[in-house]
Formats: sequence, C-alpha cells, structure tokens
Amino acid sequence: MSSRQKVNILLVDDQPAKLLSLETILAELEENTLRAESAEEALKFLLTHEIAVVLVDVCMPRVDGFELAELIRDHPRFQRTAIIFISAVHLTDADCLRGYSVGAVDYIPVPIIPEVLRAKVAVFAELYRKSNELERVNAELKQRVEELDQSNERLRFADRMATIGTLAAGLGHDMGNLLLPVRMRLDTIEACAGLPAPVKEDVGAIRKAAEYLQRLATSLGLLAMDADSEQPSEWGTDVAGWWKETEGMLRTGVSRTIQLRAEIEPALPPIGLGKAALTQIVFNLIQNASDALAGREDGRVTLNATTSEQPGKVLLRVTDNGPGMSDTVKHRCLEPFFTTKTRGLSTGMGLALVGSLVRRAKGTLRIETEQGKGTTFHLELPCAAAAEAERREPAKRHVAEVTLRDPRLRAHVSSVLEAMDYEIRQGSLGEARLWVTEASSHIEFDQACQFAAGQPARRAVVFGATLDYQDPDRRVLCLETSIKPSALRKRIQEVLSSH
Amino acid sequence: MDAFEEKSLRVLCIDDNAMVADALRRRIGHENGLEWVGVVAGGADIFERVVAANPDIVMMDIDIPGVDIFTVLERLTAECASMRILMFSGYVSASLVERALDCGAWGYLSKNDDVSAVIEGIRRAGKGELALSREAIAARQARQSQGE
Repeated sequence: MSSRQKVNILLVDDQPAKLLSLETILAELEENTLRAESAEEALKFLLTHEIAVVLVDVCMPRVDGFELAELIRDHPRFQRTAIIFISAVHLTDADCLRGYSVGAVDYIPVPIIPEVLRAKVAVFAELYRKSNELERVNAELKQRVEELDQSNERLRFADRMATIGTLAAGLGHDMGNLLLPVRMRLDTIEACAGLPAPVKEDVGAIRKAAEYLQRLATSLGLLAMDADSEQPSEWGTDVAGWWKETEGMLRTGVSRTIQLRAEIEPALPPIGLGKAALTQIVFNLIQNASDALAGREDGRVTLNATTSEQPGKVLLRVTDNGPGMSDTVKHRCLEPFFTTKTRGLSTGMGLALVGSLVRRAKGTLRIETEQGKGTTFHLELPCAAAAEAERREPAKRHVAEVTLRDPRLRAHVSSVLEAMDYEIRQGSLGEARLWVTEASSHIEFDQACQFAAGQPARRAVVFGATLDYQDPDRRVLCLETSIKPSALRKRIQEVLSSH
Repeated sequence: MDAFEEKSLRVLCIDDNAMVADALRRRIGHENGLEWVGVVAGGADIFERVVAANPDIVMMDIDIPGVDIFTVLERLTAECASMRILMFSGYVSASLVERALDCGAWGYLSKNDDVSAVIEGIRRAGKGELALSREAIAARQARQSQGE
C-alpha cells in the first residue's frame, strides 16, 4: 500500500444498523469512516474534521438529508466536500434532481451494490486527496515565487550596487590620475622664486580645491570597496585622520540645510575596523539621519567618537534631531530590505549593511530613539588589536644585525624588521637579538664569536660554523637570496619563535 | 657606500598617461639629485627602450594597455640588476603590492599620495631602502596580520 494520506468519510443515517453496513462495505477502501446518527451530529463532525465525502440518508427525522446538504453547501469551507445521497424511497427523477440541486454529486438507490458504492466513494476520496495535494503544491509554488521575487530583488540590488561601485571606483581612480599632474604642476609653479602675491594666492586656492577633490577621489574608492573583503590593518583606523579624508564625501550624502559635525576625542585610540567599512557605516547612518530630517531647516547630525567605559572599546555615536522611530521601525530597521522610504529612494539595505559590518568587527549596535526628539545609533567597536596591546604593554625595541650583500633583500628584511619594531644597527652583533645573514656566504668566525659572546648556553650550526650563545632568545637567520619578499615575515617569525 | 648615493638619480617613467608623465618630468626637473631620463608610454619594445635609456629608477604604472607589466618588471629585475623599479599606480591593494615586490620591485608608490611623498619614495629607493606609500604599507600589513 502506498503511503497515501487517509481521508475522512462521514456516514450519516439515523439507523445504526445501516451505518454499520455502510462501514463494512467501505472498510476495503482503507479510509477513515466517521458515524453520525443525526444531521446535528454530522454538522459537528464537519466543523471539527476535514471531510472528503459525506454519505447521507435522505430520510431522517427532524433535519432530512436534503436540508443537511443545503446546510453543508452554505458553508464555504465545505465547497469541496462530496455529498452522496443514499435512499430507499424518493427515487423519482424529481427527487434525484432536488438532490443534485442542493449540492449532491451522486444519488444512490437502495439496495446498495457494494462494488458500485465503493467505486464511487473511492473516486471522490481520491479527488479530494488530489485537490488537497494540488492546494499544497499551489501554496508551495506561491512561496517559491515569493522567494524568487525576493532573490530577484536582491540580485537587482547587488547588480545596482556593483554598477555604482564600479562607477565610483573608476571615477575615483580617474580623478586621482588627473589630480596628480595638477598637484605636480602646482608644486613646480610654487617652486618658482619671486611669484607675485596674487599668483601665490591663486595657486593656494587651486591647491586647496585639488586637495579636496583628492580626498573625494580617495573616499569614493573607500565607498566603492567591498568592505566585507577589506582586511583591516592590525593598527586599525584613526578616526580623526579618517574624518579629515572623508568629510567632504560624507557631506555630499546630506542635504545642504543640515548641519553635519564631528566631535572626536583627542588621542582616541584607533578602532579595529578598516577605512572602507568605517566609511560605509557612517555614510549610511548619516544618510539615514539626513533622510529623516528632510525638509527641516534646523536639522543636525553629529558624529561623536569617544573612548568607551568598556576597556579596549571606542564608542561611535551618530545622532540626529529628527522625528525618531516607532518601536516597530526601531526593532526592524536593521533587517535587510526593510525601509520606510519610497522603494526608488531606498534599497532598504543601508542599515542592514551597517549592522553586518559592525557585527563583523565584533562590535555592538544599540539604537536610542524618542519620537519627536531624534535618534542616536550607538556603536561600540573594539580598539585595534596592536594599538590596544601597545597601550597595555609598550613594545620593547630589539636590535637586529642584517649582513646581506643583496641590497634589495637587505631593504626588504630591514623593512619587515622595522615593522616588527626592530632597530637595525650595523656592528651590533654583541647585543643583537636577531642576526640575519646570507645563506650563500661564509660566516666570518670572529663575527660568530662576537654574536656568541658570553658563556655558552645554546648552540646553533650555521653552514659548518658552530655558534654557541648565551641568551636563549637570540637567533640567527640564514636567508637564501632567492627568497620571495612575501615569505620573509613568516620566515623571520618562525626563527624568532623557534626553540 | 651605495653607488646610488653618490650621483644624481636618473628617473624614467613608464606611463601611458601623458599628463602624469609630463607633470612628473617637470616636478623631477625641480628636484636636486634627480634627473629626468624620459617616458615610455607602452609598446611591444618597452623592455628594450627602458634598457637603452639605462635609468637608475623606473617609475612603472601598473596598467599599461597591451603590456603585461609584471613580466616586464621580472625581466628588468633579472637582467638589469642595478635598476630600481618602483610601481606607481592609483590602484593599491595587498595582492598587487606583494606581487610587485615578489617580482622585484623596490617599492610601490600611490598616485593618490602627496607629491612630496612620491619624491621621497624615489630618494628612498636610491638610498637602498624599500619605498612603500602609506596605502601600500597598510594594505601589506593588513594581509600579514590576517595571514598570521
């Protein structure tokens, strides 16, 4: 037997013996049968169960079969329920016609031929099952269509963002390319001795404009960059420096009647967030605030950055004096595609992007809003890891000796070591923590002795020369000249952490 | 002492943007210790023309139509050991910086940087130091801190 769903068949007759006989005939169909001895009992079943077929005796006391059929058909819920009349009397054409007119699908005379009854009921039970299945598939299809619509909208959004991103990045790049010669020409004009004062003034004004455009070009790039793939530096982003760079572009996101200002705590530690991510977060928050202040002459948007009471955290706040949000908007505004603006004006993705970038930076976001007073987005973001470590424990500068003949390799090694806070000092073998030398060169024995000065505690063998040295923290790194610069940092770190 | 420190640095520029190259020529003309050699705007014989000009420093744009600039960079590094090549581009990303340095560049300067920082970069390369713009340092550092 297939795993088909059983349907309910309601048998209505005032004589229990006839109900038993119907039940026996239909048992073979392996459906559920329900027995009702009156029209009232039948209606109760209909209200509490899903019924596929009703077999009803025409002659019943109080409410007869015709009246029951009319009651059933009046209810929209039972439109698909098949009603079959069974009758030993009322067998004229007029009776049958009346039965069909009140909604019957069949009219079966008594004596019943079991095979015929079973065949008819089986057809209607199957029809009901198929209708149910069709309904389920329809609902599923409707849901899929809705999902598809949403996916299409997301695609359209992503496509639009990609186009805008490409456009912004290209525009930023081309602006930068054109501004470079402008800035260079200004340099050469300024380098000329004896420029008249008005010319100097003109050059100064052009330089100011060029610098503004340069910052705009840079910030367009930051706005267009895929912040999700941005790898923030361990040194993080200095908020004051970033603001200086992006203020011009951010101002373009707000109406001219709105007063936009930043209050940044002096000596604020850098935050552990890339510049592009910070730009996109603040741009969206400012734009959102600006939209809320549309048409207002006294609109104010403030970016406030302070150290948080939580250690190792920076608090960024974007506040507006707009109309505030309702509870529903406050709770839903970070959902993708949620917007209170006209679709054409908003993608409903701005604040969702803010939420996702803040979460990715392991920060938290809280919205404080009061209707009629305004809204503040509180973003608590971690300080940059390296800056935080330095604050807790200022780095000790170690000394390194680099004896490499290849000047490019020497420059690369020095650059990596300097970034690791090493001081490169020539002739420092006696005190150097790290000695980087060439794998292809012979180590001068006196150099080795100088490095190993003191009582021997550790031993290293370098190209046949045996080095004993006292300080277990001191290391020798022999580099092959073919090493790729990108592999240098890892090699140096491996040597420094080896035991 | 590095031989580069004793004489004027002869600078050549590979860039298809004539405005950039011309402004660089004028700017370098005002700098003590720097000498303008010329510009190569592209073409199949780019390598030969750079070798013929024999500069000390090459400012190399990353995006020259029809030229695989990294192949040129590798070839110049392998065959002209005394030449110091600095990438000079508006595009700065960790992967571009790493690739350029692995191919032999002495640095990566950004066209978005202050002009004085670009000149300083040329001088640094002349002194035998790596010349990386702020953007290039940040991009490189970010990748390294991610990789650890």
